[in-house]
Amino acid sequence: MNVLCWWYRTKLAAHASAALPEALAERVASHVAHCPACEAELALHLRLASSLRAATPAAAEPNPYLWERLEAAMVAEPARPVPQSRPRLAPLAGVALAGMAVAAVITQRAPIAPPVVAPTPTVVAMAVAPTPAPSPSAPARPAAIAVAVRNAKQEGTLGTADPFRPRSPRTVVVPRAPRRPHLPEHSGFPVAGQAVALVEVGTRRVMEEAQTAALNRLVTETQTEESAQRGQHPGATATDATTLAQNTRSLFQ
Amino acid sequence: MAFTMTGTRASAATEAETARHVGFHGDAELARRAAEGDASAFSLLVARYQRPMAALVSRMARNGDDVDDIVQELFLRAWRGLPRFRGESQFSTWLYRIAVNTAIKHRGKAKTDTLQAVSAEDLAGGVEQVRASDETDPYAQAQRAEREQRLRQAVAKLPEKQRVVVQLHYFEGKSCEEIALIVGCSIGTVWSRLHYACKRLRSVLGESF
Repeated sequence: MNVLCWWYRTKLAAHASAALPEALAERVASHVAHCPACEAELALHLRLASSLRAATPAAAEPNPYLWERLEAAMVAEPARPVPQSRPRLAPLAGVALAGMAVAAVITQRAPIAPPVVAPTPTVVAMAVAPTPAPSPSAPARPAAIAVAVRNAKQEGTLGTADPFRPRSPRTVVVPRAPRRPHLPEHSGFPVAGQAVALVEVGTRRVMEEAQTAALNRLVTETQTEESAQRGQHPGATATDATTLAQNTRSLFQ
Repeated sequence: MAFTMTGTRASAATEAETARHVGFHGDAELARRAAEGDASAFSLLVARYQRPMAALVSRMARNGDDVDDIVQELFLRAWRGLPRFRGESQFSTWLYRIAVNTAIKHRGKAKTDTLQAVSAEDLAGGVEQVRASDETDPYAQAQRAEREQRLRQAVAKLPEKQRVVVQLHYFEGKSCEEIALIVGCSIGTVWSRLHYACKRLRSVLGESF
């Protein structure tokens, strides 16, 4: 049996029932007329079709009370839904698309890191300041510290930018360096954008720490000078950290 | 007596009225009215199709006792679905599709008592065929009945898609185009299913069929 015979034989069952379109039936008939094997196959199909029709099971009669039963069921049926012009899945598809869009935006944008409440500048200053520093007996006056800061700014030893500009009187919100920094909108290359953002954050942190160290050093020197002027030993009295912190904070208010 | 006569006349008049409606209104018109909630139009459709639907369901169902329930359910599903019927196909095709799907669903439910149901159904069909045959020889009649019973059992064991096509084509006399519309496939698929179904039947029953 070649391929042509195989193709025709798949149509023989329908051809035996005269169920093929006229043009196709003519082609099958012409093939069968020249192919004894397919002719024998058609004879088997004709016999089987005849047997199947003869073996048709008897049909059952419908229930004479069908309509009464049906009517009762229709009455018990809830109100038929109004035909919908739109497919039912359309709203779900819209929701799915919206969800996909939101997910795409979230994955493209960097997560916003929660703000970290940093200690007040005074606390930072206390932490950075050397512990064995000479402590004046009396805390340095804010006015003296302010003058020293102004002089330092004029000399250029202290940066003019105030890194501790607080949003509230008691706290300073410093953004935590994000693990995945926010990418600039114009950046078409996520890797390059991340690198740029990391450099920016690192540079800012270095500048802030340098300014903090300079400020601590300035405060310590001012206190030492005042203690010397009063003729007291620097280590005679302990430094009141709380008072110092308040004075330092009031410096920036 | 007069009351009986009156009742008979009223019944005859109702049947005549129904017949007149059935004759005057096409399926599409009745389906449109039924979709708008006209139960009388739907009753005409039920009257028109209850017999072919019962025949189809009785040939497809495993258990003959379920036929009434399945027919009722399929008409109920048609009533529910009529508002969504757009008339893109013939109403009869649409109803046959519902009937086939409903029968398949019930056939799956009644799968547990297969043997009992099939034998009972086949016995009924065989008796009917023997009664209707012209053969007078009892031995020939018995042989013929046994042969047809074997054939029906073999059809019942065909894969579902092939079985539905065979039943619609050979038992219900549907054309391949109609079967394609009812089943929801291409006409080439119907030819193919017929071919493989016949091949399987011959392999099961032997070349004598």
